[in-house]
Order: sequence, then C-alpha cells, then structure tokens
Amino acid sequence: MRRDALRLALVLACLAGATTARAQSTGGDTSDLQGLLDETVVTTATKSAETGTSAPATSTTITADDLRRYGIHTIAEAIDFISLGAVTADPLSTVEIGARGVLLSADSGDHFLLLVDGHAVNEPLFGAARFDRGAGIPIEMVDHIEVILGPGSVLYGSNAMLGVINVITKRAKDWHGTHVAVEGEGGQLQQDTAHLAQLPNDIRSKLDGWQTSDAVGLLSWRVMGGVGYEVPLFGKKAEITAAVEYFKQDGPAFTFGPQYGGIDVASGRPVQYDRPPLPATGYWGGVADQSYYVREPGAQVHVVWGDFDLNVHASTFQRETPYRGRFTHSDVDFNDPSSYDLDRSLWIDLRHHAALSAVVELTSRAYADTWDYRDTLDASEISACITLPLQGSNPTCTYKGEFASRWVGLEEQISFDWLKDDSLVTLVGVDGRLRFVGSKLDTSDFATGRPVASSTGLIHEYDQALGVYAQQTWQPTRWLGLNGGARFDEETRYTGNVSPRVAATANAWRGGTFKAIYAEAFRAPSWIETNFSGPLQIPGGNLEPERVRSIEGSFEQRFGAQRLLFGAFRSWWSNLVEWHQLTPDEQKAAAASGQYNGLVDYGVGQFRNLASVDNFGFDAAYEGSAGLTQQLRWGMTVTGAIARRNDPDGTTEPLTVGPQVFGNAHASYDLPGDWPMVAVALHWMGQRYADRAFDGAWPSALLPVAPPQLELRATISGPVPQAKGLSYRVGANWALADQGPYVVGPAQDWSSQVPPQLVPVDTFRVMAGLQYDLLP
Amino acid sequence: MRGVALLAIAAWGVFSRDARAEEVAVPEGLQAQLVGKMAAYDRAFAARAGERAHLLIFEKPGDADSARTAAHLEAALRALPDVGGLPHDETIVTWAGAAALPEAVRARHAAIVYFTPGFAPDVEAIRTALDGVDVLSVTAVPDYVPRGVVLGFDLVGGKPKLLVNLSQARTQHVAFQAEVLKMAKVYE
Repeated sequence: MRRDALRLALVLACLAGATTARAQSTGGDTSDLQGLLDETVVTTATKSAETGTSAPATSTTITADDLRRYGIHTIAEAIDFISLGAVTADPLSTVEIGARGVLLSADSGDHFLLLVDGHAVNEPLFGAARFDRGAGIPIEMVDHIEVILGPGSVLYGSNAMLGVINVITKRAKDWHGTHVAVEGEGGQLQQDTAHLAQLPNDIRSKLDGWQTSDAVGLLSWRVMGGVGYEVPLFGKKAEITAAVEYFKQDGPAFTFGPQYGGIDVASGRPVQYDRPPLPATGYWGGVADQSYYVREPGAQVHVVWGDFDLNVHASTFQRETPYRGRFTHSDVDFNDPSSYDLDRSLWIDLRHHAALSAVVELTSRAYADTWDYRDTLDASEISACITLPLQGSNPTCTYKGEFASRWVGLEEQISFDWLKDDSLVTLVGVDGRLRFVGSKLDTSDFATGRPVASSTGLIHEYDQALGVYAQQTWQPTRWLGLNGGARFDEETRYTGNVSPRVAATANAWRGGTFKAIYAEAFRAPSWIETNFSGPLQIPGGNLEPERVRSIEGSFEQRFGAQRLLFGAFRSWWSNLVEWHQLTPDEQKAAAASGQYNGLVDYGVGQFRNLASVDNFGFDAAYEGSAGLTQQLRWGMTVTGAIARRNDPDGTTEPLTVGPQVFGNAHASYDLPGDWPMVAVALHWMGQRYADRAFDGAWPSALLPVAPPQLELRATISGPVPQAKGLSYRVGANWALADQGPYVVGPAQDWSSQVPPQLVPVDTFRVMAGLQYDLLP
Repeated sequence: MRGVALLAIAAWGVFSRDARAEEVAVPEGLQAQLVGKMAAYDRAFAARAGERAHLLIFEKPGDADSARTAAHLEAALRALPDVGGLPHDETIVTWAGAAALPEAVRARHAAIVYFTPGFAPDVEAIRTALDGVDVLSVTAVPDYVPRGVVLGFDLVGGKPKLLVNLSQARTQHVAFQAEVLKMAKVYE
C-alpha cells in the first residue's frame, strides 16, 4: 500500500512538473504568487487570523471546493479523505474520531472539540459532539473546515485533547443567491457481510428466512435549500446565509451472526433474541433490514450586521444501530425497528467585535445551547426484563432514557496590540457558563406502554463553569514568532485546572518553517460518568479531569505552489476515565451501601480514572497545485503512531479501534470550459485491534482484528450543459475491506465460546446529485 | 453569579455601541506579500515607480479599525525586501478627502495607494479622483474593489483570493499580466 502511495505521488509530481514547465515556457511563472494564494488562513489556533504556516499548531484547512470536488458529505469524510493526522471509525451508530494513533472508543466524540463558527458544540452531560450527519450542518454552507491537531485547551477549555475542529460557514458574498440541491446514494440493498450463504447445512436449517437478495436500489437521499443575500438594514449592510436540509437513510441491510447464545437459565428455553411472536431459537443474527436508518433534518443560519455576527443552529439526528454491542444497546431485540437514538440540538451565538483603538480590540460573545438525547430500546431477552413486573410468559420491556444539557454563557475577550504592528499582542479572555444537566431512565411494558418501575438514573444538576485565559504572542524578529499562554478552568466538580501552551515558529530560509510546541489539555469528566446511576452503573463520584501533555516539532517547506510537511510528536495521557466492571466483592459493597439496587448480580460497573497512554509518532503531508487556474491539485498525508495503554495493574497493551498507520491521497483536474472536474480521493488505514480485543479473553488465534482498509472515491462534477445555474455531481465509493474494528452481537467475549464477529462495512456505493443556483 | 452579572453589563455596553464593520478578510502580513508580488506583474509598475516604490497608506481620522489596519500594513510592508522588485518606503497618510488625492499621489510620486477600512462612503469619489492618475490603488476591504479600487484581497475557503477591477485598472494605467488575471476574480 505504501508503494502504491509512493507511485501516486511520483505521478502527481511529474504532472505538476510538466504543467509548471509549460507555464514557465509561456513566460508566466506565477508559482510564487500561486504559493501565496495557496497559503491557508486559520483563526482557530490563536483566535486571530494568521497564516497556517505561522500558526502555533499543525493544521489542515479543507475548503468548500475540496468538499465539492471530492464528493464529501460530512465532517468525518472530510477528515478521512483530506485531513492530516485525524481519522474516524464508523460503528454504524455515530462515527468516532481520533488522531495520531489515539481513538478512544465509545467516547461520544468528547476528546475532540468541535466548533461551528467558533461556537463550542460539545455538551457537558456526555461531552458529545457529532462529526457525521449528526452534526446537522448542510455541507453546501460550509466555507472551510480547520482541523487543528494537538492539545487546544489553552484557549478553549475542556475536550480539546486530540485537537480542535472549527467549521466555518459561508458568508453571503460567497454563496450569493438561492440554492437547491438534491442527491441520492444507491447500492446493494442487502449485503451478506456475515457470509450466511456459506454456513453449514445443520446451522442453515435452523435459520429459516435468513437468506439475502442481490437487489440494488436507493439507500439514502437528501434535499437542501439555502440562501445568501446582502440587504441594507437600518443604514448598515446586513447579510444572511441560511440553509436547511433533510437526510434520510435506510440500510443497507447487513447480515449478522449466527451467534448461539444457548439456553436461558431463567426460562429454561433458548435465549430470545427476536421479538415474539418470533420463536426463541437461541441464535442471534439474520438480515437487519429494519434497524439501520438515519433521519436528519438540520438548519444553519448566519447573519452579519455591522459588527454583530449571529449564528443559529437547529437539528435532530435519529438513528438506529443494526446490532447489539457492548455500549450499543446491549440487550436490544434483533432487527427491532422501534429502538432508536435521537439527538436534538438548538443553539444561538451572538458575537460583537469592536476595535476600541489602534491598540485595543474587544470581542464579546453571548450564547445559549440546548441539547438532548433520547434512547429507546426494546428487549425481549429474559435477563433484560426479569426484574420487572411484566405481563405474559414472553414479555418485552422498553427502556427509555432521556438526557438533557442546557447552558448559557458569556465570553469577553480583549487584545492589546502594544506596538501596533502585530508583533507583540496580548490576549485575555474570560468565559463563564451556567449549565443544567438532567437525565432519567424509565422502563415500561412494550405491549401496554405502561410504566413498570420507578424512574432511575436521575440527574438534575445546575452548575457554573468559568474559564480565564491569556495568550502572549511576540515576534522579536522577522523570522521568529513566539506564543505562550494558559487557561484556568474551574467548575463545581473539580478545582482549578491549568492548560498551558508555549510555541515557537522560525522561518529558517525562504519557504522553510520550523515549529516547536508544548501544550497541555484536559477533559472534564462528563456528568454521566460522575453522577449517573442506572441498573448496571453506580456513579463515578469524584473523578479527576483527564489530562494530556504533548510536545511536537515540525518542518514545513513551501516551494511555489507546493508544500511539504514533516512533524514528530509525543504525548502523555493520564487519568483516563474508563468503565470498570466491579469485582464480586466491590459489587456486594456497593449494594450494601445503597449505591445500586442489588437486583442484578453481574455486570455492574463504574467509571473511574484508570489508564494512562503513551503516544508518539510522525505526520507527513505533501500537497500542491499546478496550472494558471490551479486546474490540477493534489495532496497526500501519512501518519504513523504508536499508542500504548497502561493499566493500574502494570499491564500495557495497544490502543484499540484507532489505526497506527493511516493516511489519504487526493487529486483532481478541472477540465476546461463546461467540461467536468474529475477527482479521486482515497484513504487507507492499517490493521486495527477491535474494541474488545484485549478485554474479551479471546484465544490468541481469535483475537478480533480489523483488516487494513482502503477506501477509494471517484467524483465527477460540473455544470449541466445548456442549463444555466444547474450543476451535477456523480461518484462512486469502494471500500476494499468489509469489516471494521467493533465486535458485534451478544458474543462480546470468549465466555460464550463464540468467535468474534466484526461490524460490517458498506463496500460500494454510487452517488448522484443535482444543484440549482439561482443568482439574482 | 456576580462575575456573570458584570460580564453581562460589560457585554451590553459594547453591544449598545454604534458600530460599523468593513471587514479586513486577509491578514495584513499576507496582503503585504501579495502586493509585493502583484506589483511585479503590473507591466507599468517599474516605469511608474522609477528607482524606488513609494507607498501611501491612507488612514481615516478617528477610525480605530482604519488606524489599526494602517499600522499593521505599514509594518508588514516595511518587512518586505522589495515591492515589485524595487526598494520601497511606506507612509501613513491621514485622509484629507478625495479631491486632494491626485495631488498627494503626484507630490509624493506614489506608485501604490492603499486604502484601509473606513472608506466605504468615499470609494466612488476615490475612483473618480484617480481616473487617469498613474497609480495602483489597493484596498484591504474586498467590497471596495467592484466599486472602484483596482486591487483587493478576499478570503474564500480559508485561502486568499485576488480581486481586480479591470476597467479601473485601465483607467489608472495598471496593466496586469494575463496570467495573473486568470488567477483573480475580475470585475469589468
């Protein structure tokens, strides 16, 4: 695979050389100017606009052009196909995100801070942020995405441990007019990823109705409408950019199992994995043709009026995961259409910027967010309902979790440009929040809908969070830039937490830049980790924030419109909050102290500060463009990282799910006139240990490992001839490996003597879309 | 709670201030580099500038945004080894009205005039005043270009974009090479 990447790079370099030579031969060597026009401008690293080269961070900027030309639909896809150093994994529920070899599974995205136009999205109850369709941001409205690698708490506080992703939406001038888009994705409707057709006959005879078909059809579709207009308002220019979208996905129907669960001890019958009246066969699996879907309506509005900047977001994200896993609906009936997860998000952010003098600038921000999450699960397995007073001999119970976070905040930020030349700037800020978090878990009889037990998992808490930060930048000479700062964070559950950063940037020679960065970051434990009490969970109590310290160095060389980057990093993670399953003695003690009801005698656990992680590796990137209008563009990245988890008992093991070697490559060519843009992108990952690889007691021959993955996407886009304002985009996506790094089904460990089955991957899709832009 | 209340009061004080935004999209340091390069692609620049390029940066009196941008631009331009291949100097000039502009250009033998934020009400007058004047006008505010400033810079997709008002360029005897115009958003 590395050899293929090298060949691709050589081909691109030859093409670039040929195109550049042609430009020079015509007397138009504009490569220096093109190099400047290819400089990215980032605002996330220091909360001020600066070039990516001079920013005290390793960053990637993904432009709206990139999103369109490479057929990108989500932040996660943008990260996988274009970004340096970050990677996602898809357990078929919400994608998980990691960077530089560290991907902490089942973390709800709470180790990456997600910003939308500078507004922090991660909420306090789970720390959750969504990077897939659940982000709810119409992709056409995205101007660019800044991906900042490494600890970023110095200016942003909690959650910025792996990095910060800032989605910047378009201004009206860049999205002028009215826009409508419709697109769909199709493929094989049922995919026999469990290879049911190859099962032995004696098993097949017990699995009536598990056969799949080869039919193809529509799997998802999406519609989007948006506007971008500038209008006078009370004597000032106002601009509004807004978009709404609806996305719907059904399938594909993956196959799972069969996993034999044996005889249920309580009933004496085979385990009931399906909803009655389907019989209890003891076999889990089949064709999940009703339980993998997504519904996502989302809206984003951006209004600029004078020095005011208003952003409003609203979205819901309903989805169902087609299997049961350790943290994903561990008791849910197979192929149950009525179990689902639902996020609802609404936020508003008003910002004001004022230059008070040539020296002083003041930025004020007020914001309010509400986010809630609902989790509905139907279970017919006797062990899931046995403690409940249900009617009938084969009852189904329904668990409904309701979780909510609400917060309002004010941020004041003042900067002093002491010498009026940007060479010595002090930034000071304070960010205060009032927060509410709440949760409850209800159980009811599926048949009647009547509650059958008192609510559990009750959280109803108000608290305050305060962050104070300062940053000093100093450019003592033309070639040297220094940056130092720290942020102090405090909230109700922990005392002061300081996150420093120091960085130096040196322009050694023309186009050559060295960077050295030391930074620390933290993640406040989520309220679910500290306060939630459920049938299988006792509260974590006084958990310490997770911490990471990182040191990194990089060298970047620009030559004309090409850029080469190499960096090395090392980071140390401590106090990682992880699930700890109580020992029998601990469980007895917890029951005796009233921390749980004692009705369940196995599987009770608690979040604790347990592990630490040592992580080191390198990042490399090469990108460039050629041609007077940069018709040819290309780029490639590679990251190699070692990440080892250290347990309190002294054992050390690799981190699961995240790849240790991964990268991407992309190239596009813009054919002249109305001819289309042709683009190819690929991302690849090395072998990955599955999430249960080291805690499932598997025999070494059955250690669950996801194979290396190579995903290739080809996209063609351009204007529809003879149809002014109408454009198209078509593409196809291939994935070579059909398994990902998550163990699915009830066989989550070797105790059931069933070999592990890994989550399936949708290996082929085609996409087609039309967009109409009505310009006034 | 008291801290939050104080923040609210401070925020209200700022929000109630009468404000105006003319956004500088591209950092001044990068603008300066682009100006230095673009001057080299103006075929009339060398003849216009002579042995040394004089740059005038116009600042609107009493406008903090304008003063701030002017100071940043002066520092960034000063750091350039050359502008269009020539040695150069920069001067911040307090705006005295469009009528005085041609004379200021001639008297100081300016090759480039740079307009900071705050000139929105004056752009048409500037365009008229510079008709026939041999000078490259540049602005830090993208909105000014379609209204009559020859060269400006915008930020699209997190990257700088050249903006060129071609008809005004002809009027001011600025002749960018065709290759450069292909890289720019051109207003006729």
